[in-house]
Amino acid sequence: MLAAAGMLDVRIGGESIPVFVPPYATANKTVHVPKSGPLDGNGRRSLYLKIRRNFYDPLLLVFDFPDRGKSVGKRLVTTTPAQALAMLNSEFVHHVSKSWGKSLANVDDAFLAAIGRMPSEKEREQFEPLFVLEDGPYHVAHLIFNHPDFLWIK
Amino acid sequence: MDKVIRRRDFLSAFGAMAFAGVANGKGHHNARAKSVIYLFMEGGPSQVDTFDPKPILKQRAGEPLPFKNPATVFNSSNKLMPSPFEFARYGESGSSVSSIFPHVASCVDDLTFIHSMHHNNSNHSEGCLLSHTGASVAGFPSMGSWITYGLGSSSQNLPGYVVLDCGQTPSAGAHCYSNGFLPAPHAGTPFRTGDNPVEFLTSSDPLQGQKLEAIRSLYRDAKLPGVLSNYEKAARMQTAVPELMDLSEETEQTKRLYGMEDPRCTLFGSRCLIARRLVERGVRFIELFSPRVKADRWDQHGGLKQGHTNNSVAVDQPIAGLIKDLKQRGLLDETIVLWGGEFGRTPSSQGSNGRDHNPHGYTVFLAGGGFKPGVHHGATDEFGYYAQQDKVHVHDLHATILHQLGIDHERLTYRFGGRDYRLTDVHGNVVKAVLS
Repeated sequence: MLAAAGMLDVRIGGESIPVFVPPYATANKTVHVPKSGPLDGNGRRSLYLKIRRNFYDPLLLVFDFPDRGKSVGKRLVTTTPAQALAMLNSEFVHHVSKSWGKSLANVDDAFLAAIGRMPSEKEREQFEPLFVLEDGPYHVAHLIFNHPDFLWIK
Repeated sequence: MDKVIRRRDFLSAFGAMAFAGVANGKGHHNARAKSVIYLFMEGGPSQVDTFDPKPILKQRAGEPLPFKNPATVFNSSNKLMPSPFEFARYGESGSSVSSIFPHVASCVDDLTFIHSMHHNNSNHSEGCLLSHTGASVAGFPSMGSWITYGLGSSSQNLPGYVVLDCGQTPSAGAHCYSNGFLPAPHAGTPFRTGDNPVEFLTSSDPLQGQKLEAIRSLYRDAKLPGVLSNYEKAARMQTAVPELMDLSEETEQTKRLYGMEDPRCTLFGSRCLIARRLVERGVRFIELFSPRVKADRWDQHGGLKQGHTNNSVAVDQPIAGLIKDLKQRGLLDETIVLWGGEFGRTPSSQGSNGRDHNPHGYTVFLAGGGFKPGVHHGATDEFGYYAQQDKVHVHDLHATILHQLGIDHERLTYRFGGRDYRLTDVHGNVVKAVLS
């Protein structure tokens, strides 16, 4: 998502970035409240995200982020409703969509950047009306992140 | 490797009944129970101050133990300390309960006590991990994960393993309800209090309906109906979870039963009530951690009288309410309620009025799910230090709970790192004596 939106920082090395902690996640907690990092991890690759054993990044977690307490020889691959919820509602997904939306000129650019092809006629009919609405580019960016060709490698 | 169980890999997080044979409760053998509610009392409630009275502690108060006490976390004294609480006998079973559990005392004839629990880990994190995952190091799947992996969930709209947040995370944190190396859908899903109970559940997107329509069309065209069903479940969950958490349709009488009108037990009472609602909705494994009170968790190295009182007040009436409510609704027979901590406490004193950790002998109780009611299984020595008679290790307890759910703990396996793993590792015996 960061790459598609042009927000990915590909530099090598540097400080670890603290994980973003949504305020509601710690609303009732009085001890061990982790200090939150930036919502987009400063655009850095997840390799540079700080690991807190007791508070993994909630978004990475639903996408099978491995347990950091032991070595994992093979990443699990799952498809779950929690992932669909995350793609629909997570702050990160909306934040990146919004940021990208600010510079997004048209639906074709969104398709090219996210899935490397032009939209079909049918897709154009689905995306064009969305684009012209208020905050349309943001909604187009969000919808394309939920596109099967973005989430699925065939 | 059990092929039927391995196929759980394909079950999605919110557990469809894709494989009806197993999801109907037909695991390896006929199941006596469908759901488990684990009331985890973190910190280590003292057996000799709750359900395992030892009058000798009073008679010999201040005298040393007649045997060398094992090393404790704080190398505490070996001087016997009487319980600050009075015990009385209750019910037809004549079960002894201390004065800090008056409501639980009213349900003793429905409870199965195991007084001979034991293991070797006297630290909180390790004890919590062991009690949940059968391993005292992090990274292993918890009992709830194994159970949903084995049986799926019969709820269409909710996860199979729900953790009801009561305001504090146990030692070892989320590892306690981790899926470990099992597929991610089997992780415990925390349901928080407040307006945003589940991660990513709340939508403020004015165009969500329109986007979902587009997503339906895109996934149909891409011939990925399975993925689309996850979006449909996600959408249903957005209504199912708020509906679950909304207790306004419950009667005042029910809320009173759970002690919800008492501010000291409103939080745990409401979580216990939600636990019942989760059972009604087919959720397989529900866990509640003891709530934050005006004292440390059940970990009274000092000030035991006040600390244990505060902790018990917050949970006593809610637990009794839960058991009575499940029973009156005919749900207790097929629901296992498990109460217990990661270990017990020393019958000898730490400082002037506390007790140290003791994993060598402690008490848990169960209710429902085909456990023999009104029974006391096993016993500690005369001081309440070591489990002595009919000893039950954590692995045995796990094996017994799986057994009641229709699962043979030796056959529920998952290949990881080159070998097959089980909840019970290479241990565990079903404790037949506590089963009806």
